[in-house]
Amino acid sequence: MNILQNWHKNPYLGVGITVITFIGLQAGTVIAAESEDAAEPITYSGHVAKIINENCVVCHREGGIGPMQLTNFEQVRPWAPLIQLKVASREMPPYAYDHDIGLQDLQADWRLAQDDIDTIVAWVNQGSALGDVEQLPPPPVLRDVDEWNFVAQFGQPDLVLASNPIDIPANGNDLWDKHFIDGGLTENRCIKALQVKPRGDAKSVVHHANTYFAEITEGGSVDRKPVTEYAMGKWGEVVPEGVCRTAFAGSKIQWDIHMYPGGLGGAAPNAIIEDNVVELGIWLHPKSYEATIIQDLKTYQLDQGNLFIPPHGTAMTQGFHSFDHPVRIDSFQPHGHLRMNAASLEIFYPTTGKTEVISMISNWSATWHHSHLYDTDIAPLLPVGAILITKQWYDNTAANPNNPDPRQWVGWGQRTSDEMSHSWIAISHLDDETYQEIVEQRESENPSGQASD
Amino acid sequence: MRPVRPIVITTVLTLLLNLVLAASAGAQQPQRFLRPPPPAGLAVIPFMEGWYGNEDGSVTVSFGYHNRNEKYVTVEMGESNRIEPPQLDGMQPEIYFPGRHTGVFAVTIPASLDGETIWWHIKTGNSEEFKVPGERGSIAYELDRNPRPQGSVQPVIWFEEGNRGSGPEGVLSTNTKTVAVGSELIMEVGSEDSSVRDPSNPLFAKPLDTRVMWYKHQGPGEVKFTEHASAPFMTTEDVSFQGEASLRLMSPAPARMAIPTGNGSAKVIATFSEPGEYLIRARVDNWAASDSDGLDQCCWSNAYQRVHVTQ
Repeated sequence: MNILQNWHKNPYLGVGITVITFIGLQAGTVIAAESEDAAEPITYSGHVAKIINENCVVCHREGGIGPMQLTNFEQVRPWAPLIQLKVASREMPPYAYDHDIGLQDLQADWRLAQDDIDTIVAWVNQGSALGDVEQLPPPPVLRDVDEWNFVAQFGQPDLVLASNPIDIPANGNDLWDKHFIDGGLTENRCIKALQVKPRGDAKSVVHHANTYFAEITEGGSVDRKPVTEYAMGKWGEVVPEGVCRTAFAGSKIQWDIHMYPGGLGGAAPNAIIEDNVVELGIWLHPKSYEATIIQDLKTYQLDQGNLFIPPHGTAMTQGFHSFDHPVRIDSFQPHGHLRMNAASLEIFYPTTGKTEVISMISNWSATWHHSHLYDTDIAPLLPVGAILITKQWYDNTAANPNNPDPRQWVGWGQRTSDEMSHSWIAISHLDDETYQEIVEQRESENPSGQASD
Repeated sequence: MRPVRPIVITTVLTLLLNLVLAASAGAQQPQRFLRPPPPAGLAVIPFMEGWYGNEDGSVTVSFGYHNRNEKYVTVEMGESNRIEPPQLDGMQPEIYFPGRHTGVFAVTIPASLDGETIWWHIKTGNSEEFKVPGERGSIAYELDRNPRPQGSVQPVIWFEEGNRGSGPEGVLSTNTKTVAVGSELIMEVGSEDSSVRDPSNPLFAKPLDTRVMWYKHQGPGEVKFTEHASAPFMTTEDVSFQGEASLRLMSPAPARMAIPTGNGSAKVIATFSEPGEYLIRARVDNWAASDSDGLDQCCWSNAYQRVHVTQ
């Protein structure tokens, strides 16, 4: 898979599950893959370089956020055992999403195919050889690290809206910068894609950067609708074809930027960042674009007012939501902070009593907030009365490597050291007729009856 | 020197890395339980909000709490409600109002004790004792007194001129007021807000008011706050303070009023039901500003007034 070029990737369902074994910690082979064929020599030039170029160098390159560069054999070779470890455990690429539970057909899915994992594991076990240099693939084409993520698909954004610059200290209390800028639209348009991008070194200090279409009332209150959400590590959002997510004309844009002085994760600068700016890029459909399905992005809460995590303890939250009309779930992005470590999305169908697990993220991390975008042809449909169940889990023990202090009580709050419990979910709102059309279309394409409910 | 073969390096690194992975894999996975709905009679949860490093080398630790019950809870100072080490004991509340209350008091660890950890212990009724530590600790809990992005700062607060403070630690009056049971005591708190905001921001076209809230903090009996003619109480319908509008978890005190433009004073009438020694807390906050609310840990200040109530 190529993260940069293959926005839509084929699913890798049913591929043999790798068995990671520890063979007595003996020298040589430590991690073995089921499909490894010891007779076939695996080389960097013939097998591995392509995988790394397409999946790793986007971050592991000069100026990238990865802690080491992996753009050629000389750079890759010293890290081969670590690469093996990280890909075999699916810690890298950093896209935590359980591969054996729920829907697997996702857009912008960074997970490696099992065959690729097996290839890397076998390559390291065989000694991490370079191989025939004549077989080396062309060097990876490295785009500018500050380039927009969707340029390959959609070109440059139609609208770029920048926040006001602000200096971020190297340490101290979290900061929330909430200000207004002009929205720049004179007529309502439909959004094709969105990305929020902290400039330069700010990537690891911008905890979140939410944007809203905002109207300020005469009384001074703010009436606002989300444009998009950004949290650390998020790639962006793409609105499905045939759907309109409206960019409102005449509105101001309200920035709500949460900064964590010093930064979070391996790329944290722990230094003052001057003139921090966050940019919102919006790709718009042509004015002639017509769509009857309206999508919106909202937060769905998980009873976070009752989130209390005891010292050295764990906790779980649940949220239940239903709709008075049929909907399609287009994307799912759980949100939490340093103690949150897992999340799931389920649907309960009262008519059958069945609960369907849609998504499970067992190894969630606050440094990578992915919006899991379901392929349109399998995006879950909710009939009227079905209940969306969101669950999140928290670990305040010392076993959680992100935990800043397991001796503290932790409750809901905006700071990075506090916790949150909500999900950002993009919903396409359907009428009965459209819902029925989609159901019938899916049933005709999948007569074996795998459709939900 | 004989070069080390790559396969040897690989093997050694692999062994080391897998030792780490094996240790991690062997660690107990936390179990994930559904939590039952909370019954009545829940214990008060103490929170260490964060710590401020001071210029003199001391550290000020801010504490708050969450009372999950619908009614207030009283926990007297002593074995069930104490700060350790004991020389830093004394400023924690005895009355716990429903909801989340941030930065209710603070304890300053002197420079001579820097590096020490203090603990707030609290045991509600027959429940398990809870405790939280405070220290110059994790940077995730570091606080500062710098202006927030839209200019909000901790207001300066006082009960008596010449004795001003700011922040959760605020200021403790040096004098003690005296009043008889059932008699009215007029209390007045002063405040100045030096927040500098951008008037081109539509929300800051006019100077913002600050808000005063009054609480009994310590003492044996009931304290009733009634409105003084000069300072009408705010109502729950008043949404000009975004903190009240957006933070349902926060429970504003019934006795609260605005200080117009953030500079001036506010009066309230207090009456006491029983004789004894009381501590009254006035908090002035900047919650009309978009960059200031309790769970952001800025921007408010506490002032504490001792009151001796006679029979």
